[in-house]
Amino acid sequence: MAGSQDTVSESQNVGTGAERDWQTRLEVFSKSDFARSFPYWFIPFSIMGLGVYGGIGYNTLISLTDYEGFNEGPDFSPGNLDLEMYVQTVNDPWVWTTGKNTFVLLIVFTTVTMVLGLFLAVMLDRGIRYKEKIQTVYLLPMALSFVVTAQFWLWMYNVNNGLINLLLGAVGLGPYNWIGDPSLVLGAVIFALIWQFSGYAMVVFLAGLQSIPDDQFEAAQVDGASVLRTYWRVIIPQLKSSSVSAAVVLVIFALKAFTFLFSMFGQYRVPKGTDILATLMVREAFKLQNWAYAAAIATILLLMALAVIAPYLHYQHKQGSL
Amino acid sequence: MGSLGVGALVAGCSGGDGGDGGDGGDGGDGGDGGDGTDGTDGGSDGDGGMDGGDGGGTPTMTDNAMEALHGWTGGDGAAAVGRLVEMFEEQHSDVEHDIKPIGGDANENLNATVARRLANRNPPDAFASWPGKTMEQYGGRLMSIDGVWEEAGYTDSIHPKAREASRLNDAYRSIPLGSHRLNNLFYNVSVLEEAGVDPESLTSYDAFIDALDAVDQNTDAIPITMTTRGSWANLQYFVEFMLGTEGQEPYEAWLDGDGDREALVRALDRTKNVIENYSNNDKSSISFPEANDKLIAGDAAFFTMGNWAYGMYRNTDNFEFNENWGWVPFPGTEDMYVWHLDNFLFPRDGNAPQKARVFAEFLGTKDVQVEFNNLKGSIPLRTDVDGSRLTEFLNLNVEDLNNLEKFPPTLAHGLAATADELSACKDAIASNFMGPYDAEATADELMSVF
Repeated sequence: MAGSQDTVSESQNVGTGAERDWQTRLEVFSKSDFARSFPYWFIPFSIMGLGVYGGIGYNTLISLTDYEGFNEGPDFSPGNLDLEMYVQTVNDPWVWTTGKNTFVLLIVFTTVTMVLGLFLAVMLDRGIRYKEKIQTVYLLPMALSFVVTAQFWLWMYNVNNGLINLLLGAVGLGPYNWIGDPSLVLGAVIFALIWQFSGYAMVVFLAGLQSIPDDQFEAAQVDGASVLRTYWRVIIPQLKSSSVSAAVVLVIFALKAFTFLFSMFGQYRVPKGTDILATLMVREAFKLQNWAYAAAIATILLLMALAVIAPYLHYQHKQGSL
Repeated sequence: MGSLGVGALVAGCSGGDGGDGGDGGDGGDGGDGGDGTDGTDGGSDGDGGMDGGDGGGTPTMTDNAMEALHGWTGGDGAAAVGRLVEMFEEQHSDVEHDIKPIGGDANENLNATVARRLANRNPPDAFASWPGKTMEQYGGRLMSIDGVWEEAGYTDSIHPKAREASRLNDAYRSIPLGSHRLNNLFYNVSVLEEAGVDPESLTSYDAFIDALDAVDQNTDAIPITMTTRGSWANLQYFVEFMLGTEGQEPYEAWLDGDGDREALVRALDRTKNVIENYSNNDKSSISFPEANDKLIAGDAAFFTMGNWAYGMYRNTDNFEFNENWGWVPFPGTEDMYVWHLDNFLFPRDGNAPQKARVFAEFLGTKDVQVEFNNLKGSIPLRTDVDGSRLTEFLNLNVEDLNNLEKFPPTLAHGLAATADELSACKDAIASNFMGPYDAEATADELMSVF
């Protein structure tokens, strides 16, 4: 502070005009919204930045080291940073198996949940009877913890006395070994997740639908458009911002499937058919202390989630909904 | 209400992330310390020096509470550890403690918590784990408690096999609390009577298969109730059949890297035969207590599991040893005690090292071992315990522990394999031996582990 004043008094001898200009600018700046709101947004921004982007950055940095075990911390010297861990992941068959499962989970879960949620929202928006009650029924699973729903679905899928097989048995199908059969278990897990989150997608879409004025329905009706056509051409295109928020949250939930799987199987090692990158990452980190390798898997997981959601976000951005 | 739920979930999620980020930062700080460069040997030397000092001089107690982590949250385990805490408070009222459970199946969350805290240089003062090869991963991070062992005379009064397994890098760094036996075949007495099977005849694989066939034909019960929800269970079943049909030598030869692939294939085929043809359909979605319930309910004849399963029988009313349920060694393993240990390990650089030593000494005392294990369903490792203080079933195991000569270490519970090796074995099982069952491919992968 003192130093800068010295500079000021010296420079005053040189050119007062330029100096006054500088002072005016500072004054204007200090009165600007940016500067005045600074204390309010900077603190939460920096905490969030450190927590989220700092965490991602630190994780990426660790993935470039050879950090493992308990005895030595990560070595960040430049000579030690390389992509060796990523080369290892490419050669690891478990990364491919779990990566494939994660990808299928992300795509199928997000798509089906959104389509189902939209369908339910349109149904409810048609003003059917007992609307509020039905809304609550669909939304309730969302309020339950994964710990509860995972155990609940484990019982539902029991090959002998689970409800699913009893129902299918009534129409002459099965019994299917939902959890024990490696080709069915991923589908079973995805179905349980869809059951839990389609209510969420429904509420998001319903809020969007209800913000659209009734005039548009009436106008479409006057023009002679069918109900189906009205929704397809007029209403659904206006739900872009709802669908962006639903999609982003659902992708996050798909990544959190770890919690569901851990609750279902009681351990980090779940059946191979439903093993995902998140469970593999936790095993590598906390069972085997391969910290750098686990960090590399975490980075791949992040990139995969971004890759799934990016084309959609880009499209919506171009449409001006983002 | 719905939106509230969403908000709470999202908030919970981001809160967790923030916490993780913070932890990562701590790990970085720890790396700067000189500890890292000590390596395993340096670490143990340092510990030895520290120990000597403590023995000679006056021990200084810190003000910090002694923090000990364990994983016993369910029924018997919780009762046993509750009694242990009670006794510790009675005997050492001056030692402030924080003995707390980290829940989850098979120490899963406990191990993860310990791993995170050791990496972040914020170790607890003690934690429960498996000794033997599982302990090796902690090498360099544990303190020596040689002084405790010598002063308390545990070098004489604790079973020699347990002494050996409690050592790492030339020092005692853990203390055994109890041992479960793995090679058990529990049976429901009335189902076996109905099937016309004499349990004393179950001394070989062929006799066992005959018994399973008899149950299948003569009763409505499931011949053997199993859980295959986790790969550890299938691995454990395989080891039992391996020991029962091929014997201890081929098993240990395999663990030493000199295995006979054909022996593994034979054992895997036998395991497969029993799992596929004689067990319950819902094995892949039920846990071991649910599987054991079938035996208690009279819906199944046999159950093989570590003897922690015994705790469930004791807690069931009117379900008595030799009247309602019985026990024989797993067929073919009559001369073995398949060996498991629960130990407490003691990290270095804890906040209350002197109190941790008091705790270590306490864990080895006779009364604690008897009372804890009577509730837990495992057996004390003291060689001088009066058998009449233990329940009948536990006493039978103590006699076997003292009289048998073969102690093959358990694989699925970490005595026989390092964490990496055990994980690779479970990978092999998870890939090829959890339905469909491919003995050849499993054997190839298992052979490549050691």
